[in-house]
Amino acid sequence: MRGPIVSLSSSPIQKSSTNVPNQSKIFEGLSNPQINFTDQEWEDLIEPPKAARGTPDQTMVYCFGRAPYLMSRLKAARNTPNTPPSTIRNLTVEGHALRNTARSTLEILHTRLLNIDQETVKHPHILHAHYTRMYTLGLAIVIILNCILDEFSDNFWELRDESAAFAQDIADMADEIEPYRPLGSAWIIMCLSIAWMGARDRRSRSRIEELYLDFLCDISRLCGNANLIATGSPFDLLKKNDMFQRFIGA
Amino acid sequence: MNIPCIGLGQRRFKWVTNDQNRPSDGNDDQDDYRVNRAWLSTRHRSRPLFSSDHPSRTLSNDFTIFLGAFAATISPTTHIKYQLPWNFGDYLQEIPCRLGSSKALDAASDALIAAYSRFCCNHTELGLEPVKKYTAALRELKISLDDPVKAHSSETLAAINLLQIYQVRLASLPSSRYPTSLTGSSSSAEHKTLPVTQQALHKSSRAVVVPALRTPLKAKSSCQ
Repeated sequence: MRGPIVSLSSSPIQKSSTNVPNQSKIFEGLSNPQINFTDQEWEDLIEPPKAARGTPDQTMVYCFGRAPYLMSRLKAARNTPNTPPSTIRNLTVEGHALRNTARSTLEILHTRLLNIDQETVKHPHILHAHYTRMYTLGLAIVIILNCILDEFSDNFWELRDESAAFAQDIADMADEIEPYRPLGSAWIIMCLSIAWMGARDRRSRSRIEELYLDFLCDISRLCGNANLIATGSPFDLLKKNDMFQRFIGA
Repeated sequence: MNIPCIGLGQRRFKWVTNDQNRPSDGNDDQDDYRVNRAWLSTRHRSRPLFSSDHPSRTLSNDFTIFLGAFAATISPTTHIKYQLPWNFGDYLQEIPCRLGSSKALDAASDALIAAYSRFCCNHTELGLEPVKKYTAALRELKISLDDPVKAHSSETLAAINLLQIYQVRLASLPSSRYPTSLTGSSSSAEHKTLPVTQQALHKSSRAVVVPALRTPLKAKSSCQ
């Protein structure tokens, strides 16, 4: 009774490389020290389908896919005594190049979101949902890269200011995705936890925390709101990451 | 006229249409038409299962019903507010053709269907049925992970992904209590707080699933 099986040249994760679940796996790679993939292995995991190659979406995911390995190498260089300064310098240069690529791609994603042609596009709401999602994830990815580079950069205040502005943008995007709740907006939870790291002042963080809990209710309703605190949010995982602690100000 | 007569004295048959709304034209056939209508109405009462004037029903069994339920669950025509492929990846659409080939995947799909239907109905509690199915799915997954061949199959990896959707998004289980596709806890203290099936899964997922992710999976091209 089964139909023909489509040839799977790659894993289910690879098939969804431009989708949020794959990015959540990279996110998991950032926050979980037990996951130690090299650049090549991450690249294998996030290899995009042919249709997505060369798109800004794929470029952004590619930048994000390189973040965990870059972070682990910088962390190892920092924690190893007598690491040659050139090693850290090279890694920092690599990180800045990655960040600059992500930053310029973010501009493309933003322009794309602002210029959706409501009249000629067949399903503008689907396009809006996808472009909003990719732009917001792009904001979160740049914040992550800024966090990683913070400790090793002379211009760290610029990075922090930029991250604070992006955190505000992510919080603003939460209003945009109201029509896609509950499941179609679930990705914002991951972005809000990263926005919390990027925010600098107490007021912004309070706003982000409120939004975070609000959206978490959408997907946690089967367990009841009382269990929200026990859900072990990405917040907690990121707070424990020593690479991000200086950025957070913990 | 010198035209030979053919069929003289032989019994004649007429084709009767099923058009019951045929207007009466007052000709000689009207009586025949009434008779035919009466015959048709009798025929409708005792119509066989596979009649030619109506589409036949598709044969179904438990598996096809399950298959249909899963296809409905992952339908890309659902609004993105509730659509699974848009939120969790297009690979979901490749799962129906693999159902029936792996017990782990079948059980995980079953659990996902149960949780998703409750999620869409705005239930505030997960309910007993999805939890029972989730437990059964974990048990089947453990059996698959213990098998060195099945552990590296696409079906097993897909089952893990489906359970992750169940855990994180639909049931929102505490993250410290569920195994994910990428991680497996090595903390023995944590294992003590977990159900037996999850303990085993935690132990094996790090050893088996991560290498499975590192190794390119074999392509399947044959029809089954």
